[in-house]
Amino acid sequence: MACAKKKIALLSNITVDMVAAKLRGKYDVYIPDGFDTWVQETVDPRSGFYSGKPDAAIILLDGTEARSWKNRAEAWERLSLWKQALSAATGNITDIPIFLTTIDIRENRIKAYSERKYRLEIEDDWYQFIQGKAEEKGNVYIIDLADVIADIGREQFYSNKMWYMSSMPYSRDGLNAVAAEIERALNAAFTARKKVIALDLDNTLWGGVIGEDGLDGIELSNHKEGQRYYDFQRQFLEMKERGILLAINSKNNPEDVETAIRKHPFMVLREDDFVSSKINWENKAVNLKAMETDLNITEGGFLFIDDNPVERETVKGGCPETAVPEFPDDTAELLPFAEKIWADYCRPLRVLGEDRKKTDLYRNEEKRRQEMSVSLNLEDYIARLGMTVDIHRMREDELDRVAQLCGKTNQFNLTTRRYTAAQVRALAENPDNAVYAVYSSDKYGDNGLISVVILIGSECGVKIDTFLMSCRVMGRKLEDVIIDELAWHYKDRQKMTGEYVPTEKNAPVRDLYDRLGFRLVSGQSRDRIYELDTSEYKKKSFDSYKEIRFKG
Amino acid sequence: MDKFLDFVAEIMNVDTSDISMDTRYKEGKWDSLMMLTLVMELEAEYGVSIPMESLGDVKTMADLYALIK
Repeated sequence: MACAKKKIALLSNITVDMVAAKLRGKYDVYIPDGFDTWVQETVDPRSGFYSGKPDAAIILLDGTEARSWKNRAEAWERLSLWKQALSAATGNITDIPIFLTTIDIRENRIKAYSERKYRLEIEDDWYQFIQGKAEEKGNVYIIDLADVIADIGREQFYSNKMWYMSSMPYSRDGLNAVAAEIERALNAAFTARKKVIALDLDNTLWGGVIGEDGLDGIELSNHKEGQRYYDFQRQFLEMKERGILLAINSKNNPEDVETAIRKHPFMVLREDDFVSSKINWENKAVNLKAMETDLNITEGGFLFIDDNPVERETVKGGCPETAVPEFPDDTAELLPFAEKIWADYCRPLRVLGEDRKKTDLYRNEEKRRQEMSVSLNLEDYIARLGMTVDIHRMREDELDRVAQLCGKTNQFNLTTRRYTAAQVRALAENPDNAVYAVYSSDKYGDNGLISVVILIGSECGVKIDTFLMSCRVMGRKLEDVIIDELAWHYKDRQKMTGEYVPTEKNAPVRDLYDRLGFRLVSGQSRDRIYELDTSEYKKKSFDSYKEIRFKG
Repeated sequence: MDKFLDFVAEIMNVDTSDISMDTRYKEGKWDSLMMLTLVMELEAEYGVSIPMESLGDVKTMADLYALIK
């Protein structure tokens, strides 16, 4: 789907034309005219930095100028100026992501062994400052540029020639690395992250073949050779704790694998860490398709890791939307391989409490599915689950989660309006409007905040501006309950208007308002408008629900 | 030489036929920013290091080519 390029504003104390040139293929990049005008841009509220209304801002600071600083006092002076500029920028921009960078100070080296150096204290103070901003503001994030430079090495990262010719100190490698790091950050801000990592086992999570080498024969330990796999597994555990779901897609006998996962002393990932296991002799693309259905996650949400190129090709062919990274030839490189997967495909701007519980949520979902298979019908299923629903006005501490759902919900999303946290707050603060947060839970656990309704009030009734629901609770009549409560609550407003704006992914709710008794008033094909006459609304009863709480 | 022009054309994002050894610096897409990019990319492609002082004398594509030979 073609959409307008996102606008990026890039400020720096070096000339960043060449960095901007690298980003321009994908983004519309603003950089101010003139050298070292960035401080001015941040403090002038009418500057191009602000007036261009960017979708994200980046302030890229470089420490090469330290080579000409005269002393420690000058270093602290510069630092103080930079802090003022950053405070201005983060004070003025509150509704779009701003990325700040850590700094590599290239201190003048003409010093005796006994002389005090300031490089480390400046770098540390700078980090404390930007980290403080990130913790204080919901839209400030850090790109750890100094870490990138350390990885590449200064010799290779910088070019004296480029510095003196263009006031841009990066070498070709340095420039590419900076552009790639910025692109990763922008991807985290603007593109959907992978949700599930499906892993092969033999020669992927351990060395060797469990069916042949046995429990004692596979390579997996906490030191030397076996540690390659131990460390590799640890990376995935860290990802799981940040909301990535893990699954197994392996050609093996289930009993052999079960022994390894349960009994191997150095297995990091255990049964509870996986949301789905396909351990069989089936085609791996077929297995992935089955996982998509089980988890209700589309093909594009998956990433598949396998050491075997034949299996990778099978999956690339059968699931073209699934990411299938090349596996390193040298297994000593497994840990950095995992880090790269995280950085390129998974790393989010922020991890919320809901994300940390995600694996448990999906595992409970599996138990629910089993409950469903023995239920007589939907009512019976809902009754067996012991469902409770809580609908209330959004509280301040729920804002991030509400914005997260606005940002990523595709299927059950009637209008797909991608509000940011600041926009949701603004909507909620208007007394004519109401933002509702919906929670559900059942005997298998708490589903958390799973649905959002944003109502816009006016003289002619209330309009459902946004109605969305996490796909994992779809199909339990929750939408019926929510609309029933709202229609009843807003009965005296005479009319409730609903809207359906079709997207590539929200077909599942195309006929939702028809089913809920709304009347189609316009838009047979594209955007449809519906109305419900609430003045004569009769409250429905949902006997199969254990408890329904509503607070208007 | 043809390979050089092909490479330069690719970096400049123009057709090979649009440039020649006689193309002059500061003409068309060959501005100072493009000069920097060319130096970077040519150094990597040809495994050479172009001394900074020699760049001041580059007036044409042929001058640039002389630096990487």
